[in-house]
Amino acid sequence: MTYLITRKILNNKMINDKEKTIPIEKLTPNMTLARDITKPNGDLIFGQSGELTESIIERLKRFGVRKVSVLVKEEDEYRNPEYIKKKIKEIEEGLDYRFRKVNHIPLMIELKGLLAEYLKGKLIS
Amino acid sequence: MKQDILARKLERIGDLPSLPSVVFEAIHLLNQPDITIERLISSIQLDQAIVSKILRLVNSSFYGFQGKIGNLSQALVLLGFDTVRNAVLSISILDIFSGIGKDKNFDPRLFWLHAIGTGVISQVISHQLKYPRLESIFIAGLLHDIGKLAIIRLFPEDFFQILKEVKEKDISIIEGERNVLGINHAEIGHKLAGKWRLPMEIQEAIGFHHCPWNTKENRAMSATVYLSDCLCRALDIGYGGDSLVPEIDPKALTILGVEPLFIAGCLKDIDLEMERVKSFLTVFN
Repeated sequence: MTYLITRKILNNKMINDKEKTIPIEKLTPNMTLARDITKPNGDLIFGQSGELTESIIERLKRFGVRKVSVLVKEEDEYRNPEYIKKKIKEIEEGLDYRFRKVNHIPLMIELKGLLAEYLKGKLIS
Repeated sequence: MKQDILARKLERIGDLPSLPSVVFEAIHLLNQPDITIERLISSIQLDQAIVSKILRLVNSSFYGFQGKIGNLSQALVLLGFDTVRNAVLSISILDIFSGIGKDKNFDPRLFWLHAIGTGVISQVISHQLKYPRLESIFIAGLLHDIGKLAIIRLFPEDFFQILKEVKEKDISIIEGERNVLGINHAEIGHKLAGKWRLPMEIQEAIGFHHCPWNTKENRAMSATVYLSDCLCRALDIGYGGDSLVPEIDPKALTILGVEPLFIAGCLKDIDLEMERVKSFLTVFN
């Protein structure tokens, strides 16, 4: 039995938070749901703004919920080295792409370097 | 023959809608040293759609006066004159952009974000340079691509053909415009700004934002918008019609009297200001 997770509630979503779907086993009481947990027919099992406790999470598991959508604060992700590596790659590839026609001009190479340094530095700090 | 077609096309600039009166007022009040808050309020108040949007903005969580601000004069006192004026302008320009249909190569909101981004970066650069005309510079940046709007409105088929060429040939939008129309958005924008009787320095910044060294006066403003447009692309803020960072001509840096390193010193402020703008965006989403 699977339950669909639908009805995104945007109002409570902080601008810097990212939505991520995780298996119910990884859900812990300090997390915030990104969406209501509903049955396939739309019946509400647990509202997005409801506070999670150990016992509620247990009950959700017993309901057969397998995956839930939670909000992840970006700063939490920043501590993850894999995430940082991925982001740095994105920054470099993005700059290479946008500077593709001016990559031979000294002033533009310098500018690209300055931007790369700043954007990467922001990621690590 | 081709010249005839072009001339006839350009005559149609006269058909373009005039600037919404509240925008006109907000810009022209800039040039009057003795303006009063009452005057601005009375002109904004004529446009209830804008009033309600400003109130939504001040009452949003971003400014922290949740639900407590009931009228425009309170908003002006709390947010300050410049913030409200820039909000009025940004909202009005968004309205103009939103009236345009979406295409697979064209998302009006990203064009708008490019306009706002260029305005914000222009303001940051001018602030760092202690440039005296800070009020106009945001507007010059915001309106620099107004010629693209004119193209969309007057020659929608040509516009989508330009975007298609830009993608297929991997060229800049200004090259695409030259190929398809024979004239570019800066030249068209210059004419439109003249028709709208915008302040001369803003007209010039719009007309020369791809070649500020060709202006006779107000070179610093045109060069600031030129550099900001390039940076906006380099930082991937919004979409100006192509995904290319153009070559920055050192002449522009000479006009401003800055070294390339100067740009690095602006990045933090640009980030902070763009964060503000993005919160602003979510209010209207």
